[in-house]
Amino acid sequence: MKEATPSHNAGSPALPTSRLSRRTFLKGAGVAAASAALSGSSALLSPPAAPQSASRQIVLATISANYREGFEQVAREYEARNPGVRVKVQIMPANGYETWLRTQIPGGGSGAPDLFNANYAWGMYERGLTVNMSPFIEQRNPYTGRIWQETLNAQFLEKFKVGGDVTFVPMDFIEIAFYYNADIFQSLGLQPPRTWEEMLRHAERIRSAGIIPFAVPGNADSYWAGTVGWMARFFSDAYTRHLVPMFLSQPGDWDYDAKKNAGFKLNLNDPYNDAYVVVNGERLLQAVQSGRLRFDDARFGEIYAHIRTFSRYWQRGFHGANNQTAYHLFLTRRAAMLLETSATIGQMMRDMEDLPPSARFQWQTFPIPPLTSSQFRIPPFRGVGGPGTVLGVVKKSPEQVKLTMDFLMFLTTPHAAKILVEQAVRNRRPLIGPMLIPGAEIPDFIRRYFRPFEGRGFERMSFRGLMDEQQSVWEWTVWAQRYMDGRLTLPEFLQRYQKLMIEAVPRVIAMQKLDMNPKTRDRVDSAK
Amino acid sequence: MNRGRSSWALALTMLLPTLLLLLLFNYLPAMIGLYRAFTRWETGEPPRWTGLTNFVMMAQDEFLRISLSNQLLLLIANLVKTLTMPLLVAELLMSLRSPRWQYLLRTAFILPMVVPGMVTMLLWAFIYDGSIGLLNQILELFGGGGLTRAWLGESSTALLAIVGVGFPWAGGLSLLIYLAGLTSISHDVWDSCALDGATGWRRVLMVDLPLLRPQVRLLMTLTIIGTLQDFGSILILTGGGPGLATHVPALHMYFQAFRFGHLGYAAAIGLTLFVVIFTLSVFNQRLGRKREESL
Amino acid sequence: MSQMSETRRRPIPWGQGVVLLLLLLLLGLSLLPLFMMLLLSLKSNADIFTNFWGLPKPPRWDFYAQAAGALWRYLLNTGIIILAVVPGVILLSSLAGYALSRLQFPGRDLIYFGVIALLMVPGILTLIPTYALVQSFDLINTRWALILPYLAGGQVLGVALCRTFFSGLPEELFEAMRLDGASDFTIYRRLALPLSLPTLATIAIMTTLGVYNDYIWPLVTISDNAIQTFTVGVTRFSGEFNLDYGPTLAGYVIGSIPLVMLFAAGMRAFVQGVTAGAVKA
Repeated sequence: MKEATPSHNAGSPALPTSRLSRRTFLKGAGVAAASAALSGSSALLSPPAAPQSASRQIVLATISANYREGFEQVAREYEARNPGVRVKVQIMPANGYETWLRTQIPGGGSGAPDLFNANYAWGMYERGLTVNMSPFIEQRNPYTGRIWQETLNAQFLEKFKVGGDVTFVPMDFIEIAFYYNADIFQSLGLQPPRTWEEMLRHAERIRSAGIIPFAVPGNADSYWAGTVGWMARFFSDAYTRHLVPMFLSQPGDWDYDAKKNAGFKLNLNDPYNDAYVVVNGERLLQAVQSGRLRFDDARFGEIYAHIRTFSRYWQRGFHGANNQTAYHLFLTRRAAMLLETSATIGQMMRDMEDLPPSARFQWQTFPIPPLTSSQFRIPPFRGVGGPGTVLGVVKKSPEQVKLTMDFLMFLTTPHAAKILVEQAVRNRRPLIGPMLIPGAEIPDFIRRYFRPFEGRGFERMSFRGLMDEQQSVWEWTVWAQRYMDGRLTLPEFLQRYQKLMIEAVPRVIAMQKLDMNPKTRDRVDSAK
Repeated sequence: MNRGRSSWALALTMLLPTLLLLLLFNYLPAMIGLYRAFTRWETGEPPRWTGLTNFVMMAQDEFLRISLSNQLLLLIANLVKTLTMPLLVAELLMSLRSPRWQYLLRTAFILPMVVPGMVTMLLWAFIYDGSIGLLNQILELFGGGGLTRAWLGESSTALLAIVGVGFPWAGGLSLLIYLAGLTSISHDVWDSCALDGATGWRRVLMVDLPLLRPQVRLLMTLTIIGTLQDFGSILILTGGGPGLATHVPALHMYFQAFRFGHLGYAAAIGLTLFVVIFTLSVFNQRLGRKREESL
Repeated sequence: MSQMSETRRRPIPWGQGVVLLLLLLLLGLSLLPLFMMLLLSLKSNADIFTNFWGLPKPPRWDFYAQAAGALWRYLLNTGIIILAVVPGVILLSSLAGYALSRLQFPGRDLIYFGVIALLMVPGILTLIPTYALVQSFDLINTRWALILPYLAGGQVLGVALCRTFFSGLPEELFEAMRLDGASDFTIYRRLALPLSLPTLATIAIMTTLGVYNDYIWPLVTISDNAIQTFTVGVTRFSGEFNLDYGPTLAGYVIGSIPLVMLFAAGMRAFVQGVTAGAVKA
């Protein structure tokens, strides 16, 4: 039981990261900080802004402990270039970080940090406590000589805007892909598969060699927030993407945004095609209610048939496995493949070093390969991830905000991003995933691991349960597990799936106090 | 008279904090629970009287129905567990001649009780682990490698694995209570048994067991209450899964209240469980008494 | 005669060797999980995978430091709760138990019945309403959400035990002090309280065990890890070691130490506390 608390309250905007993995990756490994190792490469950068008044301080209070040494080094470099400014890096324990933010930031006192992990304090911007960064990202970044937003990830900036405003700067993101044991692949003469079907043929070969093809955690947690949940998500995204126009906010709807929706044209070849459009929740519910979106139709039938077929290549008793168990099967060479997040790369590097040399093996990653055998036209699978480390700025005096922005501009240069990655690797700290700083010079051996995680797009709608309403999620998990266990046939499962989704509609309506008229805004804002 | 009044004042002072706390945190919740079981009461909303609706919903709740058979099996298994192994160990301990060994072993058997309950559960989760669990390691050691599995992860073994937690179920509270019972049986009884030729297992069955009836009755009541109420360990070990393989009513109540926000419905399940527990306990006590009287 | 009855006490017809062997076997099975917990807590993952049953090479004592680092806050939180609850339960129980046994006043038996009737109310009935109540006091996610209900709940049995104990004291003791002019409260403080120390120790241990082992209540009322208790924390802390088993198991060992110490400090009181606590449940 693992966490039994409903840790995903429906009120807050669901940041995919939180659903991707709940493990804490950020525990410091206890390695002494080799902080002020100055690299001589700062000459590449344009000269700093002229120093202003003396002894000013910027506080970065973060839980991203994996960047501890990197942050320190960047801070020291920044101080060297900006005499009189002191940058304090505080690595905060993940435990209680959110509470700490919620007490410190509204206080606005000396305890309040300048920079913080913004996805730990939803609703702060709406309450006027953090800075609107939109005007800043249009300015020139003196450390790169370019407009700031050109060196930030446009998709993430756009995707997580609050009321049209940019409220944080994304540093890195987390995504999933397959890990594979390259030694096993080599000994069987296998190459990373290019299609889903080829992957299953590989799995067949691997199994006949006496090795478990895939290590998969399958406990209830995994169905909700882990591996099996991811599968259900990327499958149903691929199979229902074409329905997005049905749920779009229309002119006149309360949440209609002409900039985003007016020009939208469905293009299944572009994984980012629908990344910015606004989907209207009431229209989605209407579609379920009216049967225009059914979960017992041929498309969902195919999805769950595929997942069931896939599960024949997982280890026995996967329903009792958590991600720890699955990871160990892979690490002990009993399983050849593993579907995991990018945050596992750092972990795997570390564990591989800890193994006795005879037990080590070569490993690599490959993206989730596209499905080719379907009666429908199925676009390639998209990602289910989201931002990892994202930094927001606390509203203080205009001078202080300006100073903090200047440091943040420095922190988001490709040069600084490179320091963050290098220091994390050097100090054996896990990386969450690829950097979101275009042009960041990442060491090549890491880049190789990261590449399969990049550029996959993001799912738009997921249907394991209805709009994350917890009862429907649980019921879906129960029936899906029984189906995967062979206790329900596919039609039996689909019938229950449709039923549970229909039954969830009135509950969602009651919970969100909807009048089912898309023109009116009736959702009670559940900001704490 | 004077004395009586001052007694009143003093007694009230001494009792007041206790009574206030009990009224506020014990009586009031019990009353609220009784009443709100008959309301539609969702998280963050005021309760609305709906009569027996929640109980009708319970009767139609497919998940609850499936959980009942799991619960029944767990209850029977737990009763059998309580009534066999600890009693055997108690008798074995009693028949040790050396008081030193007796004391030593008794202490050792109590030792697992010192481990926090949650740690015990997490250890058992580890024992059943499909990858490097202790049980699988033991099986491989003895050539049963083909039997290894994720014990909590398959519908066919999950409930059995829950039953197996604590194997060999020998120590703990039940052992203490049996030992207390056996020690209190007077030597005269055993002496006269010996004269009647009732020795060995015969005596255990004919003499010890009847004399241990109060202990057995107590342990049965405790087991009934404990089994029907405890969902924490199932929450930790399987979360009720896979599917519904280890789902029980108390867990259903917990999910309804704290995951889905249906507090009124959960209160109705809680009330029903209370009635069932109460009835079974009273029944058990009555049954036990009657048998004792007929002796 | 005593020799004879000693022999006759033994119901099992087998020889002592067989009995001892059987007991040791059962004991071994009972203790195996604990033994493996200790053994594996000192092993790195690689060591566990390649050398499950063997001795750790080398023993990773640093895992204990890691685990302590991750768990100390939870243990401290549990400690704070226990320090707040246990003295309160003892004090209030003894006061109420004394009043209900040694003082004469109308309604005494009714009040006592009102207290012990609560022994019949299972937690499953009151869990949700108590949660709603604590929520309406705006105490969710504060230590008070734990302290107040524990303080109330711990007294039910505490009062019963204290009353039983005080009732059993011979009246002469009280008469003698009364003749010396001592007030009822002085008698409570000078006579009854010191005599009841063993009972109070039992109540203290019982309450400590109850608080230490409670899982569901802190799970639902406390969301902030900074004030979360050990029993909930121990189910989560392993995430901090990513995927190492050793530190996790070391954490289990560390979490058991306080109860082991409690046991060592007073086995008799501990056993009585466990028994009394269970009889209540």
